[in-house]
Amino acid sequence: MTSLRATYDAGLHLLDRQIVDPDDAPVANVDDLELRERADGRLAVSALLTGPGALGPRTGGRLGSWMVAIWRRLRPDADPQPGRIEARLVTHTDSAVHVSARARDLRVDGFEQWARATVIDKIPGAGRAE
Amino acid sequence: MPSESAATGAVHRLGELLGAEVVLPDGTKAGQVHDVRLAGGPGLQDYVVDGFVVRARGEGAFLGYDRRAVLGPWLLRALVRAANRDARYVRWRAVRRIDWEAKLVVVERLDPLEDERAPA
Amino acid sequence: MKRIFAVALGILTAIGGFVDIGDLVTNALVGSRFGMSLAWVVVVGVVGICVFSEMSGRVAAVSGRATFDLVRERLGPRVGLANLVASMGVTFLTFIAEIGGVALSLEIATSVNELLWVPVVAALLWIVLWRVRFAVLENVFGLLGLSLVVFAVALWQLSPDWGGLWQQVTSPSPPSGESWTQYSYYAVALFGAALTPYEVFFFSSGGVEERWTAKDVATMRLNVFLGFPLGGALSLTIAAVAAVVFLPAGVQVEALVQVALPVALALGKIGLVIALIGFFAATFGAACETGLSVGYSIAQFYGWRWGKFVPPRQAARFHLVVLLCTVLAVPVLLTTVDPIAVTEYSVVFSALALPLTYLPILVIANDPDYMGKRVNGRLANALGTVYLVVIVVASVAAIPLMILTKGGQ
Repeated sequence: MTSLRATYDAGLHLLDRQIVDPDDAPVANVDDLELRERADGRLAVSALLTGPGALGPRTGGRLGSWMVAIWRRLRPDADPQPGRIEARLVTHTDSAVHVSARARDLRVDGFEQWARATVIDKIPGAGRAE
Repeated sequence: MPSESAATGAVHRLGELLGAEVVLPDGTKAGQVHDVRLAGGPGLQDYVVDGFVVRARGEGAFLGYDRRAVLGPWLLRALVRAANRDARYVRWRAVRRIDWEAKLVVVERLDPLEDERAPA
Repeated sequence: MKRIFAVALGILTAIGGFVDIGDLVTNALVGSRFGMSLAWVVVVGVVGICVFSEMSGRVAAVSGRATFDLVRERLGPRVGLANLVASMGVTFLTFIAEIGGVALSLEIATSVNELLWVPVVAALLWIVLWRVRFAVLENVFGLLGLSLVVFAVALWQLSPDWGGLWQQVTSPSPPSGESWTQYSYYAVALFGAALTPYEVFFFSSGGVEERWTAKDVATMRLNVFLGFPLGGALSLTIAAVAAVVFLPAGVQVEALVQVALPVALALGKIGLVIALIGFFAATFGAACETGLSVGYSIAQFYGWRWGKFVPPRQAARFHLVVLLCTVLAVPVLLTTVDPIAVTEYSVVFSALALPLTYLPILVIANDPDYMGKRVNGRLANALGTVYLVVIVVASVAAIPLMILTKGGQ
C-alpha cells in the first residue's frame, strides 16, 4: 500500500505536483505549501495551497505580481485567501498527491465554477458525457 | 494522533523560503535555499521542516534531478552532476533564526549533502 | 478477431492522421523547388516523431500522466510557464493554419471564397469538439485521411523517371537555382512539419483519457512504428508528385490547389475529388487535434480537469479555452492573411519550439519515479539523445535562416 515518503524535498516531490481525488480526478496543482509554527518552534505542514493566490507569489518577479493583482481584482472579498486543502486530507503520494476528499467538496476551483456558470452551462449538452 | 502538536502559531508559505539567502552568524554568505526537506509523520500534517538544501548559486532544480542518481542519458547525468557540485545541507537545529520579511536564514553550520539514490 | 480489427484500425488511423496542412504544403513546396533532395529530412523527422511519440505514449500508459502535467513538475513554475506560453503559441498558430487549410479545401471544392468558409469551419469544428466522441473523431478523420493514398497512385500513374527521382533522393544538395541557405531553411521547415509539438501532447493526453496501462504499450508501439512511417511515406509521395510535375517546369507551389494538381493530371477529376477529401480529412482532423492540444496544455499545467471523457460542465475551464481558441482563430484568418503563409510560419516556429517539448519527455521517460521498471532502455536513450542534439540544432537555426532567406524566398 503506497503511503507517504519518509522525507520530502518539497520542491522536488511536492510542489507543482498534481493533486488527485479518490477517483483519480484532477483537483488542482500544489502551487505552494502552508507552514505553521508549532509550540515547539518547528514549522509544520498545515495545508496545500493552490491557485493564482499561491502560484503568483511563488513565481515571483513582475509576472508573479501581475498574477496576484489580477486574482485579487477578480475576487469579491477584500482579503482573498488562496485555495487551501488541509494537509490531513492527504492519503498518499506517488507521482501525484492523493487526497481523501472529492474534487467538488474541496472547493478550490473558483475559476472552474465561474467558467461553468458564465459560459459552459449556457451551451446545450454541457451535462452529457460522451 | 499527535494532536498536542496542533499548530497555532504564525502562518508562512514554503515558497517564501525558496531562494532565501543563507548566512552564517558573522554575516558570511553561504548560498541560497534551493529546497526544503520535510520529515515526520504519520500524517502529512505531522511533517516538519527538517532542514534546508543550500546551493551557492541560485534556486531552481535542473529539471528536478539535482540530487538523484537517476539513470539516464549520460550527457544529462554529467550536466546534472556538474551543476550540483556545491550543494550542502543545513539541519534544523543549526538554524539560528529565519527572517521572513528579509527572506534570510541565519545558520550556525552547513553539512555535506548525501545524494538520494534512485530505487533499483 | 476483434483484437486484430482494433489494432488494424489503430494503425490505419495513425497513417491517415499523420498528414496535416503543414505536411501537405511544405512537402509539395519542397518537391516543386528542391525535388526529392530533401527527402532525407522527412525520414529523419519521421524517425524522430516515432521515438518521442513512443516515449510519451509509454509515459502516459505507465504513469497515467500526460505530457504537460509533467513538464511543470520538472521545470518549475516560471520556466514551465515560459514553456507553456511558447507551446500554446505555436500550437495555436498551427490551429489557425489548419482551419485555413480546411477553408481552402472547401474553396477548391466549391469555388466559394475561403474567407466565407472560415467562420463556418470554425463553428463546425467547435460543434464537433463539443459533441462528437473522441474515438469517432479519431477514427473518422484518420480513415478518411487515407484518401491521400491517391497521391501514391498518381505518382505511379505519372510514370516518372524513377532513376532520376532516386538520384535526387541520394544527392542531398540544393538543385541549380537554389542556395544552401534556402536548402537549409526548408530542411528546418520540413523537420518542423514532421515533428510537430502538438502531436505529442495530443497522443499522450488521448492515452490518459483512454486509460492506457502498461498492457497497452505493445499496441501503442505498433500504431507508432507502423502507422507513422507509412504516414511519412504518404508525405513523400506528395513531394514526389510535385517534383515530377512542377520541378521541370520551374513552377513553385504557392497555393493548396497546386498541391492537388498532379493528382488531377494523373487521374482526372475523380483523383482530384479523392485528393480533396483527403485534404479535408487531414486538415479538419488536425484542427481538432491542435484545438484540443491547446486546451490540454494549459489545463494540465494548472491542474484543471480536462478531456472529452467527462461532461463539459465538469471540465469547464478546458472547454472555455477550446471555445476561445476557435473564436479567436476566425478574426486572424479574416484579415485575409494567406493560410499558406501562416502554415509556413507555423512549421518553422514548430521547429523553434521543439526542444521545449522533447527535453522534458526524454528526462521523464528515464525517471523511475514515474516509469518504474519501464524507463528508457539503451536504444531509446541513444536515439533520444541524438535527436535532442538534432532538435536543438534545428531550433537554433530556425530564426536566423528565416531572416536570411526572408521567409523562404
